[in-house]
Amino acid sequence: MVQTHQRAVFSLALKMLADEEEAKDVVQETFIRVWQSICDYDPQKSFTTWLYTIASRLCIDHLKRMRRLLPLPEDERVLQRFVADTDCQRTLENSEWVAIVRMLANELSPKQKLVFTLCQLEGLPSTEVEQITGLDARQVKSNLYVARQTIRKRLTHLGYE
Amino acid sequence: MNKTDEILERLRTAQQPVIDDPDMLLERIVGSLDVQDSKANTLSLTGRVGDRALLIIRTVLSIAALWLIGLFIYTTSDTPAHQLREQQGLTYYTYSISNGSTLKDVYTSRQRKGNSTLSYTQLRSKLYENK
Repeated sequence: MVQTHQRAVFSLALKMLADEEEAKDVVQETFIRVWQSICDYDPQKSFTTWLYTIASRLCIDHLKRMRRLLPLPEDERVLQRFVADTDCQRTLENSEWVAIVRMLANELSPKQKLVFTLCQLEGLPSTEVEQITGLDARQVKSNLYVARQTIRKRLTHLGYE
Repeated sequence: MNKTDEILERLRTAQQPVIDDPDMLLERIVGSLDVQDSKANTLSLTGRVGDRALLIIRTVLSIAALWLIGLFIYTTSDTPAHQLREQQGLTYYTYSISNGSTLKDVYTSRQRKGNSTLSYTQLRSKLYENK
């Protein structure tokens, strides 16, 4: 189970926290929580959704505890390279993911960041995002809209729009 | 499609982050699960002993509370009747808690009560004995 799902949890945690070590800690804590509360799991529902729910809550907790990470000058160069690259299937290193997320989603609130990451970066359907976050459709939509507008402003400020 | 949408779409289709050393992370997770498991076993053992002690304490306290409630009802229901008899000017000897609570007090008060049930002739002689 850990082998099957650890990459998905890591992907979510890295994009949310923009820190590789913190992301690994979240992966570890997620599976401990799964182990501890496996009796609460409803087999009628998707296991992945349940796993994402636990991981999301832990990411939000970590985000609240962590001090806000400010983008570094190198982060902007990473974003420039990514935008300039025409290869659609470009391979991104973890450090590049960290830099891009730090550049784009730095000003988002934890809830906006979670909705944006799940919908936009992980590509999950909105019904699943509603189940994971516990928000209704309208709240998911409005959080995603605000997140996208903030990122658009950021990109405009950087001269990409 | 504007530039923002294009960048976000490319991020969505880009290769997802990978764990640089998945086996090490797996080992770390499994290790922490073992620790959690042993902790849970210890907690459940101490929990069982604690539960039993708590049950005994609760039982003892419940019995004590019931005994106190019974005592309270007994004493409060006896006092008004005693006071009423005194108000009516009748002489009764009861063994309420105010007369004492030892076994000797109770015995004496019973003896007095037995003596107080005099026959008609005894009462008449008592009534006219000073005349």
